[in-house]
Amino acid sequence: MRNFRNFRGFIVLFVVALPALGADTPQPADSLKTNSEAETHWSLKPIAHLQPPKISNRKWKARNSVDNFVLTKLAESKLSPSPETSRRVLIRRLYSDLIGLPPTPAEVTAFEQDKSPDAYEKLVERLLASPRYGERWAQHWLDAVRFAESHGFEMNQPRTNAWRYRDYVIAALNSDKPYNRFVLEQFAGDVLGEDAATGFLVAGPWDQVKSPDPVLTAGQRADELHDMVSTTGSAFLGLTVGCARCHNHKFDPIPQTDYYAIKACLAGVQHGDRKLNTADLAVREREANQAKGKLRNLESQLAAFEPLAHTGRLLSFEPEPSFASKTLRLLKPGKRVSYPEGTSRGERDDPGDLEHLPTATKAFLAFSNAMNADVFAYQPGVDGRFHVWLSWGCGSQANATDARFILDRDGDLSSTDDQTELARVNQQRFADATGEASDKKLWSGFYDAGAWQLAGSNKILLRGGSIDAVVTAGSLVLSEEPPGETLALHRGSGGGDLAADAENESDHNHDPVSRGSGYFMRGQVNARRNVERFAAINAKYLRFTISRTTDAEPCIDELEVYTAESKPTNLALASAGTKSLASSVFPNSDIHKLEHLNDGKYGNSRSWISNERGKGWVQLEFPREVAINRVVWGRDREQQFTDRLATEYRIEVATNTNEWHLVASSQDRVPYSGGRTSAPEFSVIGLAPADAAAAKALLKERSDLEQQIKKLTDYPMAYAGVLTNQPDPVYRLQRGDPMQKREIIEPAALSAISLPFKAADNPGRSPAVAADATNPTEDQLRRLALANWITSPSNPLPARVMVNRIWQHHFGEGIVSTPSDFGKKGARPSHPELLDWLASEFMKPSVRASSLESSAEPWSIKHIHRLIVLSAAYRQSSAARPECTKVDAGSRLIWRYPPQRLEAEPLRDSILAISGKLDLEGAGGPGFSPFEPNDNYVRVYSAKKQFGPPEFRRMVYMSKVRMQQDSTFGAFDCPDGGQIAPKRMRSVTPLQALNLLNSDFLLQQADFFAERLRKDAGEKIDAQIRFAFELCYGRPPDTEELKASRTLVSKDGLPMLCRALFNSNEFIFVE
Amino acid sequence: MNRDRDPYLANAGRWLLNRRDFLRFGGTGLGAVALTALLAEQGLLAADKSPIQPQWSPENPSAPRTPHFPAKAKNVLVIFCSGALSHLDVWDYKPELIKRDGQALPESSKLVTFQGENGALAKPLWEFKPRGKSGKMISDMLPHLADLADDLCFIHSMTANSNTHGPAENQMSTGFTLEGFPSAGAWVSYALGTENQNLPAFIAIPDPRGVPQVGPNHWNSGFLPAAFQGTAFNTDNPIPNLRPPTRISDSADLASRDFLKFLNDKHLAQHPGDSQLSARISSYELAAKMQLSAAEVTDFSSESATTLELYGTNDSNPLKGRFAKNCLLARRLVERGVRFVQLFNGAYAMGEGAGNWDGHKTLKKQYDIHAPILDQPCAALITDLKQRGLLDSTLVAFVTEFGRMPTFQKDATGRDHNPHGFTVWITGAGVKRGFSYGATDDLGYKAVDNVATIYDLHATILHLLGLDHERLTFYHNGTERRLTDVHGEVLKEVLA
Repeated sequence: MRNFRNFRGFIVLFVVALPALGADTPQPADSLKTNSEAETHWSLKPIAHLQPPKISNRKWKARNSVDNFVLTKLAESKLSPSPETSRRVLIRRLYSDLIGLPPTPAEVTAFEQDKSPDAYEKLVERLLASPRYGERWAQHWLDAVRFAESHGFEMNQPRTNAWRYRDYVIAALNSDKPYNRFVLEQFAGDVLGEDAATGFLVAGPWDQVKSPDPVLTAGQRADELHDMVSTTGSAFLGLTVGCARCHNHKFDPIPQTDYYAIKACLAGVQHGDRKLNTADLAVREREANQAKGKLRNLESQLAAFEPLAHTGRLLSFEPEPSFASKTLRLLKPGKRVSYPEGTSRGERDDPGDLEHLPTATKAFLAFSNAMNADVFAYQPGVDGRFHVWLSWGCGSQANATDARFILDRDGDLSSTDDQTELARVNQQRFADATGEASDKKLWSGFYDAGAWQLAGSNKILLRGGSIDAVVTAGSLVLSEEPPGETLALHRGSGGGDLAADAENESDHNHDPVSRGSGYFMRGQVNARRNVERFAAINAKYLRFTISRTTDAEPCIDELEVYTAESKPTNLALASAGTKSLASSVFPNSDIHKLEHLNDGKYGNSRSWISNERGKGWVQLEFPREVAINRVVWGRDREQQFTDRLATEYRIEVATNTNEWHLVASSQDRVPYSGGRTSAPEFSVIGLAPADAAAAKALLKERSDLEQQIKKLTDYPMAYAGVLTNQPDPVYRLQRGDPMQKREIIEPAALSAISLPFKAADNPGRSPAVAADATNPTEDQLRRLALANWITSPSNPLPARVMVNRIWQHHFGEGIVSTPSDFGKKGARPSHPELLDWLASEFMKPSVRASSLESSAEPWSIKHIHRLIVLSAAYRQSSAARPECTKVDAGSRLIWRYPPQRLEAEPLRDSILAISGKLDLEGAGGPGFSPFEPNDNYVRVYSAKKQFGPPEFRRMVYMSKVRMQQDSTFGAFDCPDGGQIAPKRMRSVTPLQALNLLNSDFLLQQADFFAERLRKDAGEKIDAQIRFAFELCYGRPPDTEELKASRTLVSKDGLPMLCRALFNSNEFIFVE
Repeated sequence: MNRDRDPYLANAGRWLLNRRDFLRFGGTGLGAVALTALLAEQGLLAADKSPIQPQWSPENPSAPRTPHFPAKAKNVLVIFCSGALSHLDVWDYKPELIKRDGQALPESSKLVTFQGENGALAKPLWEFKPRGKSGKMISDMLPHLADLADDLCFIHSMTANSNTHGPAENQMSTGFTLEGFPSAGAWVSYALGTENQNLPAFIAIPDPRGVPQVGPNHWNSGFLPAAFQGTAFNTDNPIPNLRPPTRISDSADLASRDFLKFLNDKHLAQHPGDSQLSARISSYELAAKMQLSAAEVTDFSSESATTLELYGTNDSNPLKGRFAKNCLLARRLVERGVRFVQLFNGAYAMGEGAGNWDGHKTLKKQYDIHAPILDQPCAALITDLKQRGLLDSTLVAFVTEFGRMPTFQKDATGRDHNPHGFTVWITGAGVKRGFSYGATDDLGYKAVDNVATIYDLHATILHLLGLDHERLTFYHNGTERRLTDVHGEVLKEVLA
């Protein structure tokens, strides 16, 4: 029976191999045709449960069943195995393989001297239990799943939360997590309490550059999912499923529909960070929601102190240009003085604060010898009731303390009986009479001169004081009093001819809700949050029209409209029945939609953007006519973005759409200036002292609450995919072209392997699946079903693929040399029976690998390690034997242990370990970067020249940047993260030599190594040399080496010896 | 043959046979190469498209290798204008576009390109004039290059698969819009190795302003062995780690390396028959030679004043001067037998539009900065290659990732991305001179006549190097990968 099976296997193998064999080979095509089972590709057949073949070789002692398979194959080729290698070589080999670090000289000696029969078993157990094991083997997995920590493509920005997936893989390996569970979690970690595990799905490259072009957008999404589908196929199934994107697979039984069925399983996954489901998440979310409720409450209290939006005329007069101007006249020669650079009060870039405005003007005019003289005249030429706001240049001791502003009614300066004093001010001080006079030239801020009835003929004169001092003219602002109001409430020091009524009112009118027009200029708009308060007005419609932005199309993340009630509610919400309309919407965007305008959710990813540069409008229709008095809007409440901010806008309301009333606009705000470091969101200017104090208290409370919310909502994030509950339908795409949709494809797995496709009722499911997934979403069900299908015990692929990967990283080449392709174009196994035996041991262990193995669990990766490294095959010498190299130069039949050059990571780690600088405490967490910091839009990665302790962690923690390699070790065949790299080349190039000889990193480590030798081996050169050899090679130098080293060290110093040792073949090759 | 007994190798592996092959063919390498050539020719006769993988070994990856069939070109120089140089404003003369300046592009009302809506058609921003004997119409934007019209072979009907810089740059340099595929230079190094063992086979010369959009992916080896990756350096930034820092004296450096050789030789003696060990030893010897050669190639003291002036290396515009030095470096590399040289004009590090040809908003203003930097030095490079006879064995390709729209963008005076039609030119070994191939429509919007793809361009470049693009493959993840994926036709009409 066994012979028959072998015979059949031979036939299949022979036929597949045919193309390379040449014309003179007989063709057994007929026998294939008559044998239907042989048509099933070997890797898709069920795993054979074989007894290891019997062997007899008296000279070579088999250690476990692995050896029986190996020896049988060797015998078939008339090859003999090699003897066991020395203990020194064996311990270096095992350390390098399992933990990627060299043994210390003491560890080598201890092992060489350990005479107990299980000395090697103990060593194996110790290394498998070491946390260093997971760090070494995680890299192999990360290569196979194209893990990197930047997005790739044009911008190649870093993924700061991707490291959690790396930590997850390291921990899974260290704890010997059953492989089937490991697979399940990578598809459905969100259901299974391992959020970071789904980092697998989105570990590939992602193009961040988006465009309104719908063809491009569809193509980008198709590429994202293609990356997930094809990596799923190659990583777990060893099948090139990705080949079926455009047509049926040309070689393997994967129809195009299978590709789209798997795509449908993953269609709910988007690139991005996700909240980690930590133990305290629910509590934190609840507390955050409570705090947010309090905050809303607080904000409506605070709203009462917000200045009213001013919709009347607002006229501003700069003191220059004053020549040939009708509205401004120089009466006496003056000097233009600019405000000095700086952000202190009154300086040019003063951003303002709670109690004063930002500097809103550039310069003032200064007049000397101005005693009692009229030096400057403003003639606004307006009729109506206006509030008058004066300003001047202050800060200087030379300024007058009693400059006067005079209202001249007839505009004829020669007649004086029509003149009224508007204000008498101390120009050494700010408008609020604070500040110390020195030699500064500052802006005073606005002085409230009260409300006046003005006529076109009126002039406002600036007149010198009673002593000879400098008088200064600053900007003048007139704000129109609201029509029909007799009340001009102001709390400035000015008077005004309309003030008489107000005097009586002001005392008992402390209710800030009725704060009048005394405050005229509101703070500048800010990206986060703006409040527009106005007198209550009935509205059925509200329109927000934007006519200018900081840049690009305007964005509003949420538009709120509050009812004029004691407990205001947000009437704008769609959930309250309000409908929205817009001039245009940014096309093809999932995150910028009109419905996001009033969905109650903040932030850029729930926002509206117009499709018109610099403009656009939105309109709300309320379910009924309601009195409203406040609108709140922002560009991004989450404060990630400050672009696309509306800087010029109007807000109008209507009860029918023919008649709109302006209620607020940007015209009374301080002009937007992006350069200001900060702008006050709120101001108490114009409030009575008691109100100001109350407002300040509320502000303090608000800031505390915000802090609290920030802390509560600063959730740990993982780059593990953003998951949508209901995935979009997936269509088969003709030729893979996203513009050529065909039929809808339902989620499923590969049709060639007929297994149940179910999320829950799969007999192979882990109990946790049922327990955790109490209420799974459609997206979760699909991913679970796919993962359950993959890990079904009847699926022959995952176990074969994984044991082959393990074998490959021990021997340098897998039993199947194409580790992620077990299809027809992939390689045939060199030891098919051994592969199946290992796969079977993996799923259902039947033997104990070692007396020290407690009990082998199903799907234990460490069980397979034990079987391999405890075999006699693994312990062989690596010496080349001419009679064997002639037959099998690649050592594929394992007649020796194939020597290997260290890969980049163990090479760098070993150098650090030997120099004494390796930081093993820095295990886990965000990676370190080998590049200089940079935050360009298109990220620039330039190599660091200086290295310190942060860079002395193991290389697996070096943040993996796509396309850009580490400047020293990248050349050692590091994959670039663009495509999967299940197998690395081991090339030899002159650039590798230059990097190891001359790089800053290497030479610095050579210095550290020398330092360590002096410290640990004492002053004697010979002792230093001996210790150096022991650290690098695990052996002392021979006489010749000692002599040559002595010459080098005495002439050129110890670091030159260290540099040479780090470059030497004996150090870099694992024997 | 021995390989018959390795049935567990992938089909690809039979030809790829790393170390094994090196050992087997070590003594009879020429025989193997001859066999490959023979097979290739037979294959061509029989229209056999089975792969012919290069007989390379990891121990000496850059050893020169014979092409599939006799080659016209020995090496390649690619001049890459990053950011998408507007074909309409310099190479692709469209009288109809001039006539219809200010009118709407037909059926454009719903057209949304990369940055959004488009405005009206806009005529070229520089005047076109007939050049040389051929009378080729070229604009005044690049006058020095225009003077070379009779030497150039224009492909006016180029199309790209993406209208985004990243994927499109990827495609022009690697054939694929996705990440992680090997650059054309890596393919060529893999196929042919290099004549000059003292310099890398594949060298990329980044612009003095920085690297282009997708940076090192232009010279990436992807899934090909790292040995075939391009080495990036220019006159501002030499090969990294070429020399030890000055604090290490020359004598100490030498003593340390001699000692290393002593250790390695001794170790090799104890491990006979392991070629990996000897290969690493020779890589250190190669490195030492490279130190000398790389220093020599960037030392311009042997260049005449006339040559320096021709390139403009001392131009008062420092950016132009530095780019001119890179051009001169490119010639010196070609002269020394470097197999594949990539010369970049334009970079992204300076922010949008400021450092490259991406003229979205104010194209004229931007190109007035970039054109003088490119023009004279680049023209000098072609002239210099020609007068030294190097154009006889070198293929030069002047490329960019895609074209620009015949319209201005809405509310702007620049042009949006256009992958549907653009111009590249080639010159040198095996290429017709003063020739134009293919055409865009009357407005220069879409390629309509002899539509060419980037695959076609790559197939043509490989063909000129004596390589059949369908048979130059490398096994990766289930497929015999090619530079041209499953596409590409050699543009036979451009061949001399």
